[in-house]
Parts: sequence; C-alpha cells; structure tokens
Amino acid sequence: MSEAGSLRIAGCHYPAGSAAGQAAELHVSADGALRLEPGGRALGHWRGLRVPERLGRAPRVLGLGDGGGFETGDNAAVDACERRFRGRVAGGRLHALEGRWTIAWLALAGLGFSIFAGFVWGIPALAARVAPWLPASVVVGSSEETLASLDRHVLRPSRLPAARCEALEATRARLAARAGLSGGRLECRRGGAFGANAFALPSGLVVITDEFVELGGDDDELAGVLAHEVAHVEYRHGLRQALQGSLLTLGAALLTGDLANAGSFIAHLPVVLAGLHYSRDFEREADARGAALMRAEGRDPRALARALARLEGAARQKERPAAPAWLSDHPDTQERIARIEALAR
Amino acid sequence: MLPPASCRAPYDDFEGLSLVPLDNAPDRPPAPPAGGALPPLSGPPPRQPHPPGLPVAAVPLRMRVQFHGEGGEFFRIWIVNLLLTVLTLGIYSAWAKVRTRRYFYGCTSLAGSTFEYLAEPVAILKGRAVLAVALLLLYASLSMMPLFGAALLVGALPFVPALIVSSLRFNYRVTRWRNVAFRFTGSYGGAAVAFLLWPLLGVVSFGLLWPKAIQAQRSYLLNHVHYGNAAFSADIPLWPVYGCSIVASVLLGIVTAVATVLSGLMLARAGLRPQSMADLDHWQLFALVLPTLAYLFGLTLSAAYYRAALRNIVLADVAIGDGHGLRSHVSVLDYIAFATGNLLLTVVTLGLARPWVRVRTARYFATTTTIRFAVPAGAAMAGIAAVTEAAGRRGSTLGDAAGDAFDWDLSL
Ligand SMILES: [Zn+2]
Repeated sequence: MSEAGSLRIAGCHYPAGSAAGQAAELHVSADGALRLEPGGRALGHWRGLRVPERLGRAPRVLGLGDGGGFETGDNAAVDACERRFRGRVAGGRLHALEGRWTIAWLALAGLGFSIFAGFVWGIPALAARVAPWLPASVVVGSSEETLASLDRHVLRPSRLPAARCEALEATRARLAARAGLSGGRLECRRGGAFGANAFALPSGLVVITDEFVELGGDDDELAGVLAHEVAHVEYRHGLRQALQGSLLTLGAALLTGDLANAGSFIAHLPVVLAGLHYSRDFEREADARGAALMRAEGRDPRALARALARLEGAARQKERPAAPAWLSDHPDTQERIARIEALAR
Repeated sequence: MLPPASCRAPYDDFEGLSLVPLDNAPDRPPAPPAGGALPPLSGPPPRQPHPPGLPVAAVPLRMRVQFHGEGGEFFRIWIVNLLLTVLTLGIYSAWAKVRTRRYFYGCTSLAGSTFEYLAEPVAILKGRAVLAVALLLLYASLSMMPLFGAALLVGALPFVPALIVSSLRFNYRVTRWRNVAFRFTGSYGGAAVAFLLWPLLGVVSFGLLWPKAIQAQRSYLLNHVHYGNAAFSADIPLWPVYGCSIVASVLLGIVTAVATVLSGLMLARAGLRPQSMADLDHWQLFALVLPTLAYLFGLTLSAAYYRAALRNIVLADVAIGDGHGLRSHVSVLDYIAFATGNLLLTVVTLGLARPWVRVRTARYFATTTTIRFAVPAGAAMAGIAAVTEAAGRRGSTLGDAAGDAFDWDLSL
C-alpha cells in the first residue's frame, strides 16, 4: 500500500491471445480504478475483473476485461479488494472452513458419523422402502434361478416320504396365509454341504433339508422353523439384504473411489462386516414374528427355541470350532433361545 | 500480509528467468529428485536455427515443473469437501472435484506461472446426472431384460470413443497456463482405432497385441494435444512398451503364484473347507487375509514399475511447437519405493493419509518432468498464440463424467 487507500498487487500480466507475459503491478485506487504498471494502462474498475474463488494459498489468475489475465499469489490483497469493492469474497466462507484444523477435525468426526449413520440406518431404511417396488417377475425369477443353481451345486433330491413333505407344505401354506402372503411353496431337499438347514427365498419359496427333518424334532418344532422362514418372506428380508448389499457396495465405491490404490480388500471389509450385522437384526425380527404366527395358529411359540437347541446340540456333537461372535452369521443361539422364551412368556 | 513464500510464484522478469531457470543453471542438468540418477541432457538439437540476438549459452535450457501444494493444506480442503459431498448425497461432488483440480493445477508451476482449471461445477454436475440416469437405465434393463440389456451394452460401445474424445476436448480446453488454453484435436476415428480396435485385437491375440494397443492409445493421447498454436508430438517406440509390459506381467505372475501357493498352504494347514465362512476362527481368518495382503503388495510393485517405466517411454522426448520439448525423468526403482511407501501410509491410516499421498505424488511427477525451451523462454512464450476452438469441438462434461465413472486414464 502506498497512497492513502490505494493498493498495489504484484504479479504477472498476460496480454490477451498470447502466452507472452511480464512481471507487473496492478494499482488499485481508493475508488477501485485499475492501472497496470509499468505502462500506466487503465484497466477499468475492479468490479469488471473475473476473480476466481480463493483456494488455499494457490495463486489466482484475475480475468481482465480485455481477455488478458493477471496472475498473483497475493491472495490477501485480492480478498481485501473484493471485500471493499464487491462487498463479499466469493467462496470466502468455504476458504475459512478449509483453513482451520479445528474445522478439519470436526469435519472428520462429522464424516465418520455420517458414514456410520448412513450405513447402519440410512441404507437399511432405503432398502426397506425400495424392496416392495421390485416387480414380482424379477423376485420370482431370481428366486427360481437361485434354487436351480443350488440344485446343481449343493442340494440333492429329497429321500423323505412324499406324505411328510406334503404335510410340511400344508403347514407352511397355513402360516403364509396367516401372514397375509399368497404364492410360495415348500421344497424338500437333501442338504449335502448345507447339512440340517432351512431357508427362504424372496418369492416365498421355502427349502427344508432332510437332515433337518431327521433331527427328530416334533411337528411343532418344524412348524416353528417354517414360521420363522415365512416371517423372513413377509418382511422381505432376502430382498432387503440383497439391496443393502448393492447399496453398501455402491456407497463404499463412491466414498473410496479415491482409495482405489488401497485395493478392494480394505474397501470391502466393512461392507462384509456390516452385512453380517444386518442379518442378525433380520434373524431377531423373524424369530419374533415367527413366534407371533405360531401363537396365532394356536401352536407353541416356544417350538422354534426347542428346534434351535436341537440344532445346536447336533452341531456340538460334530465338534466344529466355535466362530468368533462378531463374525457369526447368526446371533448366538443361546441368546436367540432366551429371546424367544422371553417373548413367549 | 503476504502469503507464505512456498506457494508464491517468483514473478521476476520472465526474460531473466530464462537465463537462470529456477534452481538449475542452464548448462547443468537438473538435480535428480531424491536419489534417482537422471538421464543425460543431450536431447535432440532445436529444430529451428537459433534466433539472432539472444544469448547462446541459454539455448537449449531446461526448466523443472514445480509443485507447491502441502499435504496438510489439501487434507483440510479434502475433508471439508468430502463431508459436504456426503451431506448433499453426492451433489456437491461436482464442486469438490473442481476445487480439488483447481488446487492441484494452481499449485503446479512452470517458469513461475501456475496452471488453471476453469470447469464450471454446474456443468460437471449436469454431465454426471445425465450419465447416472443412463447407467441406471442400462443396469435396470440388464437385470430385468438381460438380452435387451446386453444388446444395449454392445450398442453403447461405439459411444465410448465419442465420450473419450469429448472428455479430452473438455479437459484440455478448461486447462490454461499463462492465460492460454490447451486443446485436444483428436478425431473420433482415431479414438475408435486406439480405444476399440486395438484393445479388441489385443484380446483376440491373447494379449500379444496388448502393448501395441497401449502404444497406440498413448500416441493418440499425446499427438493431438496443443498448447495454443503449439502442437505436442512424439514417436512412442513400440519395443520398449513391449519390454516394460513383459517385465510387469512377469512380476505380476511371480507375485500371483507366490500368493496362491502361500494361501493354499496356509488354508490347508488351517484345515479350512470352502463354503464355511461363518466357521472361521482367528487363525483361519489370518490365513485368508495374509496372502491377500501379499498379493496386494506385489500388485503395487508391478503397477508402480509399469507406471514409471511407461511414463519414461511415452514422455522420453515430446516435441512442443517450434523445437521446445517435454521429458520425464522418473527413476523406476525410486518410484517403486515411493509408491510402496504411499500404499503402506494409506493402509495404516485407513485412507486418511490419502491427501498427503496425492500431494506427494503430484510433487513427485511434477519435479521429474522438465520442459526444454529452444529459445529463451520469454521469446518462446511470445511465439505462442491462443487458439479458440470451434463450437462443435469444445467437448462435454458428459464425457468427463464417463471418464471419472470408469476411471479412464487419459492423462499424460
Ligand atoms: Zn433366519
């Protein structure tokens, strides 16, 4: 600053249409009139300049009215002129946010919370909202495809007496009707690598393995398991799980697009762990709804708990190593049994 | 109040700069960046006779590109913009992109002048929105009507070169140095040959022609760039591209083999059968993760080697305008160590060190790039005139969005 109220900004002047340029000074008078030195050429008023937003300490090129440019690293002087002649600094608030470490750490905390909230609450809510809109043809088609693929690779034809399977189908149909569901059917299969198991596909297709039926549970226990599977269908758990998987992958990809070098492993680990967490919530929901359906049918709501205990007893006999709790697909069986017992009381 | 000197460009008389370019005397090669040996400076002689009246000692002279960004400063910009992007469900990403680019361009300087990135965030957002809708329709039709979707996918192939050209035109047009814009003048036909035909032949030939495809692509990307009226041109030799592709493939092959054997051995010891993810104990999980990490590490080594070696081949001797030139001097071993350090830094900090890594990388590649002026830089600059592109050749943000979405590497 030299004369009262006037400013000098040091930089480099580029004439319009050429890369030629030279060191120069932009003189800004107290009323905003511009003069380029050396040469003394008048360049109009400050308000005629195109001033890019401030960004860190990077120099800026001011766009002159004649198509030329004036590059300067004197950001403070430029901002002072902006404030004086335009009344505001474009992007000044953003620059103030970006300039402070306190804000940066707060933003980091906010970001962590937003990601957590989005993954734990946002995505499940979105999936639950979207699931009913999927066309029935897609749901049925993908379910039949899944069963066909399982039949090719894991499952084998059932060796149960046909009457046993038909009786189970009748039970499933009654429970499904009780839940207000139409369609769906029951398939009996020899489980192979699946062992004693029962699962539902989104279209309402329930598969129960011979090994499960042969564990020796009574009809109520099997009905309890079917009620649990029907509840999965009613709440569209399968669809929501699949949608959540896609949304999680999409979200993680958007967030870590930047992180490509760190490899997909790191990007996908939280997705896998979060996915496991979702399935626990769904299991608890299906346990509760299954017990309610059993009660409505006039059957013992505790039957599922007995079936779970039987399943666990059988598994313990095989002496498989216990999975770490945080990595298990199903919530601890004892915990589920206790919950069901509490609900039935 | 003046900004700290590290980001303030030296605005000395430009003519004077040309005699003592930045930190290098004109008759001495630039100091190697951190330990790497630099190739000799004996580039080809200037194509034009030396203009009369200018000091001979100054011709030819080299200047190193400089980078003044700082990791901490960029971290603050990055985290604020990332938070705003998440809070606006991705809408702000267009502004975040422009700010990030502007920061990196603005901190890159050559001969005291920095680069400018002039894209409009709203235009970028429009491009991204159009692309997102198109991709959504494509995925929806793929999952509901697979045959029709597949037909659409094949039908979309001819648009890929168009998007590439469009992205290049757009990105060069909004890049400026010394108030003069870059341009990209490649045609659709050239892009179709480089990005569809050659890769197709590369696949059909079981990879034998893949390095040729890479060479064709790099050549197309480089030979249509203009700075104002000064054209970039370079003959990219084919056999060195084959050489570095073979070395990178062998490296990758060794790493894959080692990781596979390692994982097989460890899983066998851990007694793990497939299809029992839920039954993993900690030791088995470790057995599963360790080979993956080993593979990731090896992949980084191979990719770093390939990137550095290819860059040196592609940018070995780029001619710009009347006898000026550009050259890359990355030391391959040095860069492998650098990239490995970056990976470890990123992994250990769960990605939080990413801004520092990006700044380090930008500085690394800037300082290993030199520009050679055939005449003193002031005279050279006076010879460069801005050229305004015709309306039909200005590119679009749709192409730019596609480049971002599919991670096309179209940079030099
Ligand atoms: Zn269940």
